[in-house]
Amino acid sequence: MFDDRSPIYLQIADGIKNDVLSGALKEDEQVMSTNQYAAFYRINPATAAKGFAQLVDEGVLYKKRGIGMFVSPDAREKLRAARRERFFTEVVDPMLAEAKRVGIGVDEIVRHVGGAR
Amino acid sequence: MSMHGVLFRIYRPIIIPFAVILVTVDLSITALIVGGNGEIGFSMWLVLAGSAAKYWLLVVGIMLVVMQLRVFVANGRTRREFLAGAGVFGLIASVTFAAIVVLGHGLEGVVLEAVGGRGDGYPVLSVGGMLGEFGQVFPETIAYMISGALVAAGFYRWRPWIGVVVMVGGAIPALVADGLLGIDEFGVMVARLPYPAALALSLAATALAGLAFHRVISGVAIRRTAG
Amino acid sequence: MIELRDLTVRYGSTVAVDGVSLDLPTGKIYGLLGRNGSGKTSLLSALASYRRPARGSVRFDGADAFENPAVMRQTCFVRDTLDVNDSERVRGVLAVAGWLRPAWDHDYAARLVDLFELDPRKRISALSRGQRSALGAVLGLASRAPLTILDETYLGMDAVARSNFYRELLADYLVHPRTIILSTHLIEEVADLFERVIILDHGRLLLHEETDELRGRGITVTGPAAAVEAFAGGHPVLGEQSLGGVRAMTLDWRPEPADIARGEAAGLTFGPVGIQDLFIHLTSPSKRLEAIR
Repeated sequence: MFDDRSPIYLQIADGIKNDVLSGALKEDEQVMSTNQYAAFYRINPATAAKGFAQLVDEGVLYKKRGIGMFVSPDAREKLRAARRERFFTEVVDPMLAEAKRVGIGVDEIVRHVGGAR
Repeated sequence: MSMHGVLFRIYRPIIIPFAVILVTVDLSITALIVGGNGEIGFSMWLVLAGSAAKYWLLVVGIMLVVMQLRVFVANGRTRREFLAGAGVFGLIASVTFAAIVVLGHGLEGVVLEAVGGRGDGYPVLSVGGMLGEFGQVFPETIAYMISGALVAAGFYRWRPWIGVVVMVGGAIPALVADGLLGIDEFGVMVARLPYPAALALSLAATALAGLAFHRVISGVAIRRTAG
Repeated sequence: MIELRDLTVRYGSTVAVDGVSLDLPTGKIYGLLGRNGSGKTSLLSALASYRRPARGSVRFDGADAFENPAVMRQTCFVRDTLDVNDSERVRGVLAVAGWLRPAWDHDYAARLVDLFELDPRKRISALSRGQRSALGAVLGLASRAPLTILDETYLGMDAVARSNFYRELLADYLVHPRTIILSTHLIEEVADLFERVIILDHGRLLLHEETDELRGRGITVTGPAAAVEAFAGGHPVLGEQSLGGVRAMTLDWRPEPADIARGEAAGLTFGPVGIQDLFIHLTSPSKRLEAIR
């Protein structure tokens, strides 16, 4: 569910993006209406609508007038590309910084990752 | 539903048992007296119903302010709308109560005569007399109601000591009506003033108090109940 | 649009609401927050025309609200004390509402009475605090008034009843959109329902914002005193405390990820500030207390 550490509309958008990435939401599949979403998660419908509007703006969802909102055909690919780009700056770089602080060498990390695989 | 319609619906469960008790008490006492003396020389109904009508409407006047005003405002009516509805309700209630007092008196006379219990002093009511008696009772019932409403309004709106001052003014319609138009158990007017003058004075006092009541209530803050 | 202009409410010489101006677009759920005595109930009383403002005005689509039948018909104000008579029974209270309320939904009221497990035959004087609140919730929701104001309509309700109340409120709002104003102290419990939040403090308007804007609006920075102060720069400080050389500051500022990265590099740690925390920081007199010490 949601916390109030960041705007809920961003959390909604992130949640749906994760569902698209994981394949829980398929391309061209209809997503919940904002009212259904609001009732299900017990949040204000305007907040839900803002989250969905953000996703339409980003091209993750598209609207069919009078029917509802659907996952864009290329949404998954676009999201993956964006996340891959961010993966190194947002996940790997902070990890390397922390490793440096505690004195773990890159070799050791590589060995660990290799072992995990 | 109209405002006065709602008020009648609210008061119906209170009016009906009250009327039943009144009639029962009246019949019991009258039967006791007639049973004991063989006859009754005055109108018990005029004594009981006559004062019951006045005091009951006095209480209704108080309850309208203390209990019903905020209920109506809380259900989306303005104070002025409530006042208009309460006015129609009060007028109908006063006329009805006065008419019941007079008709009951007439009926009582007929029944007493039929059972042979009508004593010498009993105020027999002709049809014309009914109209005259109504002309005395009705200004009283409505005066009492307005008195109750104005007295309650003073305490509702202001601090107690101002309420006491308003109470003195609020008592005027009831006092004037009683003093000038009051009738005793023999149906005789107590005061010596000619009827038209007495009626005019009583209605004027009631109307003034009614206007004052309207001024006090029409912008009043709706009080919170303790709790 | 509901417009409050310079609204002032006085009780004798006490000023309860002091010159509040607010524009409230209709059809939204508002949360009215404020500490005890901040003027919430007084503001709502004037908004619902229960009380004539000492100064200023309340306008609905341009029309003055006080003693305006059309406006009153569309307003439902449920006070925590309820405007019902103790000698009445629950079903009597609901019947009167049905006679007077133009949009009263009888079946819905009956469903809510069931949901809250209210006994329609019970007298008001016999209701517990929570049951009184539940009756208030029934009156407020089943009235379907275009402006519905619920003043702490949760007092005494247990967690289950409150949860039911919030769910019903949202579900009914979704089907019958209207302007709903909820005053509450239980911020964390209901903040998700509010589209906008209004905070009063000492009778004045402190804040009127989209609720989502308040989430993550503040941040707590902890670390070596000098580094924290350098990071804080000129941003408004909501609260601060020190222990030895460590300083924690709550800032009214939403830093960019780059700022955070910079701060972390300087050995600072960051914590979020929720709506409740933000409210506490904004309305707490502790800052003043610290200044006195």
